[in-house]
Amino acid sequence: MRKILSLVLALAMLLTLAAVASADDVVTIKLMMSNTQQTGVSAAVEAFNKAYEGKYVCEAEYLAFDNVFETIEVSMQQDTAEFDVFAADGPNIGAYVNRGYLTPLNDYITAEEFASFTPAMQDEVTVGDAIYGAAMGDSELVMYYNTALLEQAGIDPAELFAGVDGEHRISWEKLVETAKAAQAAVDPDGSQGIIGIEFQQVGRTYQMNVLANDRGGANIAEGGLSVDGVINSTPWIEALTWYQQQVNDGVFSKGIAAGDTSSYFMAGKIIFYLGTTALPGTFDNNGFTTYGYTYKPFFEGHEADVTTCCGSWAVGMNPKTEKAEAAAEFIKYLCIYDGSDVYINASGMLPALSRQFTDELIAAKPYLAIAQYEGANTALVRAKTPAFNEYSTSVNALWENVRNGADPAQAAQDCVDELTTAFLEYED
Amino acid sequence: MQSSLEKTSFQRSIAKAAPYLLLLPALAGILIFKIYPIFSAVITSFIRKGAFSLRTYEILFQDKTFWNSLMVTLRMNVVMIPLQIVVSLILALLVNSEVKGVGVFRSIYYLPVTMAISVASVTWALMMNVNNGVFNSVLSIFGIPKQGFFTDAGQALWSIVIMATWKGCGYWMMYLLAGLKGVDVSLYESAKLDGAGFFTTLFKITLPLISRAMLFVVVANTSANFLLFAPTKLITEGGPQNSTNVLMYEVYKSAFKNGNMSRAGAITAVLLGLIIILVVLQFLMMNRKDVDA
Repeated sequence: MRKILSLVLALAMLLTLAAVASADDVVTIKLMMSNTQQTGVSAAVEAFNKAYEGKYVCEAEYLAFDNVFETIEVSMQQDTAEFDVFAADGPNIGAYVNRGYLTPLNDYITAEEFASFTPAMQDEVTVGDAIYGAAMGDSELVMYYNTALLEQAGIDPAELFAGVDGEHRISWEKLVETAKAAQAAVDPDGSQGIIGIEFQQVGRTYQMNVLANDRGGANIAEGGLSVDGVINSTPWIEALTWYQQQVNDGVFSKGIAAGDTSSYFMAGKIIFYLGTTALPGTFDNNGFTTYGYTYKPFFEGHEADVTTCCGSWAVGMNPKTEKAEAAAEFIKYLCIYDGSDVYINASGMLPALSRQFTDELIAAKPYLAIAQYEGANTALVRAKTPAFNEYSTSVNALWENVRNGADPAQAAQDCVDELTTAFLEYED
Repeated sequence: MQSSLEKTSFQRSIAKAAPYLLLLPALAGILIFKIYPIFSAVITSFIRKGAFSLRTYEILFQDKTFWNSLMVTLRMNVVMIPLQIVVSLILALLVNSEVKGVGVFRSIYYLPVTMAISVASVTWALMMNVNNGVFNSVLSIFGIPKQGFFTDAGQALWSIVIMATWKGCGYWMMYLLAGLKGVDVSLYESAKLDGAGFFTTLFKITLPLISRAMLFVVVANTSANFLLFAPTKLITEGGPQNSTNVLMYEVYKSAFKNGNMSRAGAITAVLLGLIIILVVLQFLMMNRKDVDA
């Protein structure tokens, strides 16, 4: 009996050792990602872990949007490999390269693989000749509208948007007029707090800049280290003044943060809502169905200037990682191969890979047809500058200040002065 | 006998070392979590691309945002520090009186202190919301139009001052109350017999006798308020129009939004210098008062 017991114990010990040895062979990589991408990325991570079972495991941590940038700064300045791979918002890549936060991926991504990205997404992750990330998807601006509110106001959305396409859009002027009429009909005394028009990312450069771009304004001067003559130019002042007028008239909102706007739209508090193609997924998850979508407006007299914002999250590799092979394998899986398909299907983002624009995808997500058109014809990349953090902080504040009553011309000049000093840090 | 003498000597050594040993954990904490980061921040402010440089300060001192931030910090504290001390003193005098149920009032006044500053900030942001805040609802009853509060460049800083005063006064009240409890009651009785009124008693007896507690409150309140950060971060993000952009927020923005640790270190050094100057001045002034008294 004692001999049998000894044998069983020895066998158990051997099995445990074997299991430990086997577990040691599995390489665990840590991913830090914005929770705005959790739906799509978690599905792709799950698929990765299944596909590479016994070889690689990805552990993902999802952080609130605003915390992602702070976490990257803190983590990278500690010189640790707390995360092997992390979410790098497209326009920030230049700044991260400047600070040494990203590893070049040229040794891991072949020229053929890189060519599978759309040109805009290749451009977004390239600094000099080096590739510093891989785009998970792209984004585009689509205008959603609350069909129930419009119908309640006696406005037929089908009639309002009849004949609208990429070449024939509704103007901002007409949209404001319609929004005011709808507000007057459904909320005559303003007690319901119905907002006429709102941007999903109100107060953020990403979407707000299109108002200035729509009037022919650029985002930044050539070279990426000056905004003098850009942000204080006529198109910007006109756009800022127009926006402030609409806020004062109660068409656009005041005092609502970007993180709350989708809840307002789903609660039936916003009539026209400009946001990304990821929103329908949120609407579906919350059972919100009374909405339609169309192309974003243009300013009368500026038909040729109509622009949309684009770009999205890329995934980059921490230079301190000791698991570069596994990290690169994960990046390629998520952004180029099977994981990318899983991500695009689950997230509603615009594909970053040319091969993914299929008829099946458009049929399943018809709003992507609008995004695809915009991506090819009106998309304008955000300011390419190593000082994008400073740029976005100042320009975000500019839009918010104007929203809260600051003189547009003075606010624009203050923003230029602030950024001119901030850019000095990069001129050494 | 020899052994007994040795034991006594050993015990004496232990007794001598005991206070230092007991202080050691706290001292280590202060060194690691307070002094070291301060020195580290100051050193960082002089390092650019791995070499010693004054360039960060050169850029900082020609930055309008920094000067505006310094002015906002001073403007806020010039109002907030005296306001908090006066309100705390009034509260302490009120709850020092011997009336029935005074303990309940002490607890009520102290209650905001128990709330986390983040929770307080979010709650006040909701109450002062321009669209549907309770403050605007109350104002509308009196026919007063909606106020912007945290979204109005002229009101945001003062809204933060009100919030911080509400949050902080109960804390400082407790220190002043402790000081008041240490004043001999017979002094008040004598003053009363001599015909001294409320203000004479306050300025001639109460305030001089609680000067030590007052000195602590003035110094600690100054440091705490100069380092106030949460409401700016959570409610206004320095706006509108940089009207609430205090130096602490500028430090945070430089370090964690823009990744510029050198600039963050330089602003920290300026802030530190400012607090040291003010605290030394406060010590000198309070000590002179003590000598004069």
